[in-house]
Amino acid sequence: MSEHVHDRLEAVAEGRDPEAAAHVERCASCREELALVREGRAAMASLAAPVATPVAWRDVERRLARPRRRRAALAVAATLVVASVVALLARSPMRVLEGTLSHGVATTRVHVALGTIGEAWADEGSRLRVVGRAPLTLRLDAGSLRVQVHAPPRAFVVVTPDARIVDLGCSYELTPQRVRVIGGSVEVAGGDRSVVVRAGWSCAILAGRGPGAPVRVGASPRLVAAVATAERTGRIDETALVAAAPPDALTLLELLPLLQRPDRDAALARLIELTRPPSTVTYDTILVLDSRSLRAWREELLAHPPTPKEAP
Amino acid sequence: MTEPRDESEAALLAACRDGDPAARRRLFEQAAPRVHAIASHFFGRDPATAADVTQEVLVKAMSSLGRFRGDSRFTTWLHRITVNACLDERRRAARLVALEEREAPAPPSADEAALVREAVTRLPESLRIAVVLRHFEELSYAEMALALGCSEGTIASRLSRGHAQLARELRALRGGRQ
Repeated sequence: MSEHVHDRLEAVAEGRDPEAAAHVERCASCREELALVREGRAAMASLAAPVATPVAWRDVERRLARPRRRRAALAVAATLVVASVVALLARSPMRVLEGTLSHGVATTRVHVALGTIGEAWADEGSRLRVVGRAPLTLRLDAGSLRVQVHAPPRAFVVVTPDARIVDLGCSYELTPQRVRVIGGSVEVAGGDRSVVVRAGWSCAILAGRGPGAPVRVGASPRLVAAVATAERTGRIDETALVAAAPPDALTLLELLPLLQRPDRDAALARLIELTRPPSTVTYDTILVLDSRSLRAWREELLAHPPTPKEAP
Repeated sequence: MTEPRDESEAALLAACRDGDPAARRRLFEQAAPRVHAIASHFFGRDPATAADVTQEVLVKAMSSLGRFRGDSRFTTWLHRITVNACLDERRRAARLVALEEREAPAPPSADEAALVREAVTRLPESLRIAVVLRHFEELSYAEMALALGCSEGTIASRLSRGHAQLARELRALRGGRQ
């Protein structure tokens, strides 16, 4: 009867099974087990239910409002992604990537060894997955990642919901909303644009639009705030443009495609005050965002960054 | 098995099916804490996944109200969807884990509630779900049997074993702390 009673100890603990309770009185093993059941029940009773639900009605409402066809397409896409990752992993007999995820409360960071090319640390709670092996590609959906890569450029990629961050030989910190480069540089692509972010610079990642304009650590707080507003609104506080120094030329250049006119005209005017464009670039081609002109000026600014006293 | 249904629950569901936005919001507000309580204790160390599963369940439940036949209480139906979503997500994540995952032993903690939560996450899934449904939703054995798709005898057994196992895990964790 002992095993049978073990299945009834919950009822005994609730005082609902006198027959089993009588058996427990006579059985040392069942008494010991009943004590454990009561201890477990008491522990659970001491535990409060989570008070805050991290899901907002507006998010659920928005998803409910989505057309069914799109939901079906997303479901198919999700299935394909899952299938491709599984296939990718199954195809590779040798693990390219070995990592260790530690979940302890005392461990504030998770260390991930990226094979032979480097290492990364993710804050606890970060959501990280391998989605490709050539180049090695991780997906970061939430949390933050610090990366240190010792490999040729473009050997390591992290994708976030809104951008693709390609390592150009460096170390950097990344959240789905911002990348901050510590050494070397990265390319951030998303939407229809791509920017290069160098050591000592950071760049916002804009929801659904890819990278914003890189800003340097020493930039005027007034300029930084104006850039953040411009990334959201397409408008810039012209008086804040005065706070831009020659080293901020790259910021203004990368900001131009995000600005509406006439704000773009004002930013371009300030950019020309700060640094001279390459000979192949004209005011008009930049103003209409000609991609070849933008690239030429970007390459010039990356190759020869203006110094603080260099205004033409 | 048919359970008595609350008149106000029936009226609320009818209003939701008619597209009444206030009713839909009220249903969400009633359902969300229940779903989240189960998901957050099931995925103890992973609040982001618990939040994702909570949202998935709420979207699924609210978009499938037309398929809820009323054979059971709405909450029982909701629990069944939640339990299935938790188990599905666990299976899906298990397939996709590419980084080797080694769980570090729980560190010492002065917080008793944290120890209990950690002990809950160490229970096997079937026992964990039973214990969580019993304590946070206060379901009857019959309601739990409906939600989990098993007999009431199985529920009784899982609760007994779950609570005893929980006590053992707690003792082990407290031993590690000393």
